[in-house]
Amino acid sequence: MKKRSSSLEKRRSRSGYLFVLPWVIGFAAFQLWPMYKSFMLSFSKVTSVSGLKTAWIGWENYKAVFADVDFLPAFWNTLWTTVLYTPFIIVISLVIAILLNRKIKGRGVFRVIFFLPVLLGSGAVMAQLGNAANIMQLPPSIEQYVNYYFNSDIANFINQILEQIVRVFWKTGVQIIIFLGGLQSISDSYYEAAKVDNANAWDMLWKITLPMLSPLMYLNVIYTVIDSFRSENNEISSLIINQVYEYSNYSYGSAMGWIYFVISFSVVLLATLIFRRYVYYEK
Amino acid sequence: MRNKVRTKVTKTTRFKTILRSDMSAGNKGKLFVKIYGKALGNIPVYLALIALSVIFIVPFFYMIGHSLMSVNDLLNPNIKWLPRSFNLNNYEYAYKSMNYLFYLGKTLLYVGVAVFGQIMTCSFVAYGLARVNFKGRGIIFGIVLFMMIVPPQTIIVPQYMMFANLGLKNSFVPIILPCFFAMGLNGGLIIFVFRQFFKGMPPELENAAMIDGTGVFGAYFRVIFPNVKPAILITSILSLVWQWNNSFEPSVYIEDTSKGLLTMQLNILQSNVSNVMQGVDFNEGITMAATFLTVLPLIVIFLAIQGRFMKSMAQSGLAN
Repeated sequence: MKKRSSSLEKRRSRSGYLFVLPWVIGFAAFQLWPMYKSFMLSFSKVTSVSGLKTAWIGWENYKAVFADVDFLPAFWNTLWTTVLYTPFIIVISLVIAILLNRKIKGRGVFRVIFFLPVLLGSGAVMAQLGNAANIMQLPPSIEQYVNYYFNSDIANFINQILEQIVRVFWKTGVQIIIFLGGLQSISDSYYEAAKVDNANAWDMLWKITLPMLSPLMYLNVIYTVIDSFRSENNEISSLIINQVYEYSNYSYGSAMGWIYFVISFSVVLLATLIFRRYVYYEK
Repeated sequence: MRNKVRTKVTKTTRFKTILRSDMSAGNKGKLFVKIYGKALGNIPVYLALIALSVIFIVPFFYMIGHSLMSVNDLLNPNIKWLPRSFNLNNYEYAYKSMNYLFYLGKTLLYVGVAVFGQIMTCSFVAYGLARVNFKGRGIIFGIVLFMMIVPPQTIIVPQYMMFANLGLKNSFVPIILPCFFAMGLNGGLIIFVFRQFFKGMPPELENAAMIDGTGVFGAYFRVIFPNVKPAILITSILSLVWQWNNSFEPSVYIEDTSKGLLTMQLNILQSNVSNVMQGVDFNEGITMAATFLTVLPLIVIFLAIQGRFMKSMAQSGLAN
């Protein structure tokens, strides 16, 4: 009996490789070579832009990056905003998802509205709207009210905070959708059992909803951190993009990129190790 | 209909019984809460949702308002949000100069294929990462996470050269093919979403499917995959929106803009207008009309399927 189950285990673990095979092929075919090229480029100097001819120069680019006065401050700012924004984004998107999951009138319309940051806030549409309206701004009238009622120092402070809040809200769309999907997959039977035991809504939130949502909470935390790191709008990305596209410093830009990827990946791994413990999977 | 009547009856009878028991005590406040408590409980929810909506609706409002403005309205500094005269000219110009229906159809087809490929393969890979123990699983998931951090901009040049060497210029193959290998736009996140849902699945489901003797893959396709409907729904919506709005990769791979998609027509709107609409001056109103036309299908699709985020769907045969 034991032998049979172990051979079954073996067969199962072999099937694991078949499951990930499409990804392995795709990675080898589409990503490995470009990654290798970019990695080698960071150790080289471009000698001719038209033919992309390069010469090996070792660690020179990396040394230059750490000597760059712009790099470290931009890096700390990016890291700091990530750490600061992430908890707010998670809590706000969770609250909104719970509200949108209630049986209320006009729920569909509200769901569309809260999904607007994703619908409008990416790619070509964002480019058009961003040019025109500066999309992540406060409704202008609110700013006017604040300026009217407070003196300029306090008004500036309040407006800055409000602006940060708006920016945080604009990053919640994807997380809301993921939480909304997660709320669906919690079986009603848990809530019914809890009601039989006279549990109130607050208890049910902490004892049922949050533990059952924890796998998605973990997903959302990691995604939010990654999304913040790779955002085109953060300081370090603009630094890299400037180097590559404006000054045509391909090799310097890719050295900067690689340092940044490795450090951000370490932060993501750290977050994974911390949050993995709090995730509850149904056994 | 019958249900409605029944709830009405129970409500009135309940009202009467409460009335009888409580009127004598003169406890009108309590009575009010008992009857209307549930409806009142939603008022803070509405207030919160409406207040928060303002943040997101402002640019949307701006877009629609400006798309309806005439040239005079646009030039008038006193008009900021609402057009003084209601005119649909901008929509006509945008519609014609974008060749809207043709590119809409093309975009729907392209996005449909890409989303299908991503959902099928990413979920497949995610199942292996979530539920099967094998050596190297952690490393593979690590690389998936790492590739999520690397922005496509950094590896697009060698990628482009690779496909160009294969003679794939002005073709969607470089964008669509990776979608069928669990990659493509934000493929890593789609794998991650499915992985988390598979991990949260009770093992009884798998065991039951395996006992039926269908084998690992049969069990996957017949029992496991159909049971993560919320994950399929989430990832389809996200993948759809991202692919739809994606203009970076197409702008690299498709040099001939007439072979592009809707978003590409939006990017070259100004030259399109001057080519197609002789004598029409390009203005912001046309841009906003074109932008709205580009996202309108997404809004319609999302509105149509958001109702599927409902409790009943997710019972998923797991409730015992």
